[in-house]
Amino acid sequence: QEAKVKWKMAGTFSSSLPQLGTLGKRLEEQIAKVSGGSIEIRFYEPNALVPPLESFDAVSVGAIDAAFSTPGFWGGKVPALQVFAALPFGPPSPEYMAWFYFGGGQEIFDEIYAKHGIHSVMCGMLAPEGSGWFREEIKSVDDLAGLKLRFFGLGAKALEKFGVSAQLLAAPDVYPALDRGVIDGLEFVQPAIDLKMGFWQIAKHYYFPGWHQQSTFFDLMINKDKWDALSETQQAQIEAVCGDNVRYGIAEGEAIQVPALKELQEKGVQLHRWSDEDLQKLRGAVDEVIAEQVAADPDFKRAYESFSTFRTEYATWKDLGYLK
Amino acid sequence: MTAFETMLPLSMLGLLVVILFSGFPVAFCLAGVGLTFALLGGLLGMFHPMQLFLIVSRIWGSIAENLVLVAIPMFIFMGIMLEKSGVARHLLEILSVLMRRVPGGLALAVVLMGTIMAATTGIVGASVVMLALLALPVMMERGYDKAVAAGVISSSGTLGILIPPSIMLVVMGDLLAIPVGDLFAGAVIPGFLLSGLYLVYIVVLALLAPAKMPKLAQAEVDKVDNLPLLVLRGFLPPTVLVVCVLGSIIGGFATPTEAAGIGAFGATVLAVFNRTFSIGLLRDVARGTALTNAMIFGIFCGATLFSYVFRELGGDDAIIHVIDLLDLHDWTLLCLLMVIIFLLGFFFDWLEITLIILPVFRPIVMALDFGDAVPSDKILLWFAIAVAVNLQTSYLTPPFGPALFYLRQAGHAHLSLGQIYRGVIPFTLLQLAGLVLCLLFPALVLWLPDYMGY
Amino acid sequence: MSLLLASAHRLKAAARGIGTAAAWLVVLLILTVVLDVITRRFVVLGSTKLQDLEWHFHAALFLFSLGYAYVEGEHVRIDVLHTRFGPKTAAAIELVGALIFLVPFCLIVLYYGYTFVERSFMLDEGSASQTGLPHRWIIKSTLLGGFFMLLVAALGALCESLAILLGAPPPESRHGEHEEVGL
Ligand code: NA
Ligand code: NA
Repeated sequence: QEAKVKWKMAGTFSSSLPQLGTLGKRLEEQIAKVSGGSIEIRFYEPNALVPPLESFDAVSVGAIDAAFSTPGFWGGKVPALQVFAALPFGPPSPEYMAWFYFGGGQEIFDEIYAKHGIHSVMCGMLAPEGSGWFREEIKSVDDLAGLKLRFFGLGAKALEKFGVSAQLLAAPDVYPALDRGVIDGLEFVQPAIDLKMGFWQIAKHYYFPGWHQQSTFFDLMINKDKWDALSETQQAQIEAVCGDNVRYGIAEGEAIQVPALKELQEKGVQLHRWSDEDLQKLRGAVDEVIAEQVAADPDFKRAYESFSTFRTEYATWKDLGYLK
Repeated sequence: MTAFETMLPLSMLGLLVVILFSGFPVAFCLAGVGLTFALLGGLLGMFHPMQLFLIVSRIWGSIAENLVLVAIPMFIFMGIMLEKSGVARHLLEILSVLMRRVPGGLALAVVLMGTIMAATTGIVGASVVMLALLALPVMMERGYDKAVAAGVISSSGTLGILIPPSIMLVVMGDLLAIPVGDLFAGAVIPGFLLSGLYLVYIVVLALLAPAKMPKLAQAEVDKVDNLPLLVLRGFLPPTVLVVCVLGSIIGGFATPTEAAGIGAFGATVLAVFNRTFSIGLLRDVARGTALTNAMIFGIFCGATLFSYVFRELGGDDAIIHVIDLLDLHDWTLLCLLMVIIFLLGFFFDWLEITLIILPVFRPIVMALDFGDAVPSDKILLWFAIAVAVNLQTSYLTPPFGPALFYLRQAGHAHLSLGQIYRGVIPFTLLQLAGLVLCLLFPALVLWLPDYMGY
Repeated sequence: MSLLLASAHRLKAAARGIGTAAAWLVVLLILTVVLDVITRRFVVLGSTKLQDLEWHFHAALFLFSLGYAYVEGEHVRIDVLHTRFGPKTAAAIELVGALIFLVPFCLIVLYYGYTFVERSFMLDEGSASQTGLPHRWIIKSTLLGGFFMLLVAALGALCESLAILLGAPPPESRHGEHEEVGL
């Protein structure tokens, strides 16, 4: 008879937000059912226990048991973890999972997190993102020069190479700033989520594909001591529920975009797609940024090289096995 | 939950009230009571020492690293600079001459100033401090009743949390998955409604009890010669400043937070034109800003500790448990939620209250049935704005009404906390009247978002 | 007793000195905002860095003035009853409050804050937004500095209230000038 586990899990997005939050909430519900009540993981809203960006440290020192987040959040602390969240011009979910589960990704991932006293289980997957809401139509990436955009992460670094001024706005300022033109555009998540956020009310041009962020992994970070104290059955239960959460996230993510896109179009939003030529230019900027990261951080280098080696080899199968 | 589990966190609230009246600084009472209960929880095996780490996480992540709170010191700076450089004085003198025939004219001017500020910031600490610095000395000189002055300033200064842009509405939008634009549009009419209720109340009170808001003596008016020049001197500089602050937001030059910096800079430029600027003045303004700002952020630090321990000891669950026990539906449940939110406002700030109530009641409220009164897809928006109106009140309710503390500190030469407590009661009742109106007439909330095509 | 008063004086002077120096940060903050707003229309200076810098300045400002505000009596109190207490009662409340509330608060923030800053230092943490400022541990260490100065101020208040309880004359209260009517 194993000890009953009662954990507190910090959310990094509100439970009401599709995918970002609902996947965490689903984890809470499913683990209770699957474990027959032997594991209780309670979802706490962001800021209820800990501010979202502080949850890494909090799990690491054991101030909270777990957090539901994405490895990409920790780019400022552990740059290498960005490789395990979403890469610009990164892979679609089957390829990403193939590398992670079978291509050597998971070993590096576990090793990196273990250095910080964390055991993490991949626990969700998001559909590709939109690549931004703009007030005015952007004819080509060369038009981006001088624009003020709210954009994060490696994508923001790549855009700076086109003369974009990346802005770091306080949350309540974002809406008035875009409305009044302090910023010319912003990037958030995907159609189903952006619809709820209401960006369509103030910007009418929505761009695709999300070159900066294709499939995105979400993970359940667990304090390593707490994880090690679980029975094997309990560990397997968490892994099983998380694995199922990844499956659920992919399927749901693909399913909910179409109704959202329709609704956005009804509301007068124009959907745009970057030209191949533009994407090529963006890819060039991204390659530069990644080369900088690889040079700056040995763990990033190791993780990224593992991924790109896999990707090169995988291309054979992708070209052969899949219809173009 | 056992009775003990329910009572333990709730007793934190009781102890806090007792300790607050000891007169030890509010910020440290909050921290101290929180730590006392963390220790108690530790002895009962409900709290692990390592959890205290989150106090640091919260002070850092929610307070220090919070980009919107940066507006607070800049608005305070603007207020102190305007006060010390004499710009504010000219304005209010001329206002009281111009409005001498209007009952309660000066108080009305304060409400209007508060409403304008509310459209530029959502930061209550900033607007209350600024209104207190600018208006309180003049109101006192004109012989205004202290309680009335306190009520007018603190309630007008809290409008900013409701009238967009507002950080509270953004956070509520996240928690409820409602577009921010809907909430912003929904809050406009209720916000101006409250402002209007204050104005009506002031006029009525001025007519019924003129002694509380004396008109300017004719002798004072006679002293004024060359009114147009005075108007120019008094009105022009602050008008330019308001145009700069509002204009930089509307013109798309600055975010609301940055507009505070523009205002602070502009106030300094005005002091230069007013020939009152000196390095000594700048030093005094900077020091005054640091002190008032530290008072506000001290309360933030203490409050985040207190609410964290309350939550860890099961406080949220205790509140939800009490609501569940009553097993109410539709209108009665809605009214109960409003009462609970109002009561929580005595102790907690809006963020903690929204975190306790909104996630749990979002699905429940969405499923409520109000017949023809509110279309089912608009219930959540209507509910959210009603909660927002209610939460504005939490800034005003004693003993732990942050707006009252800010006013106490900024106006310590004139007002005691007792006077402030008494003065705010009529305004709290006006707030409740505004809330009841929004509940009875959902169109007050829902019309504008609908009109905007959301 | 004179030792107590002298220590109180020194401790409070230290908190005041740091606070008055930190107060100038608000001027830097305002200038940074104005610089960002004016320049970003024309050139790319790196708004993310400037906007990071804004909250850096503010964090240092408020943290280093917490203790300053305490020695200046600016932390708001519910003084509805307090003003009716005699100087000895008030000193006793200050002594107990500082001892069981304020000092433990500072010590806990310093103890866990040390771990917090050390972790940031070991990782050489940078801005989460990638385009912001590096070396986050520098600004995070103001948390330790600020709460240390609050501790210093608290110890100053402890010494002073102890001296008053032992018979030293109480200092002038700056909040006592208005008549108190109570509730
Ligand atoms: Na506002
Ligand atoms: Na209150």
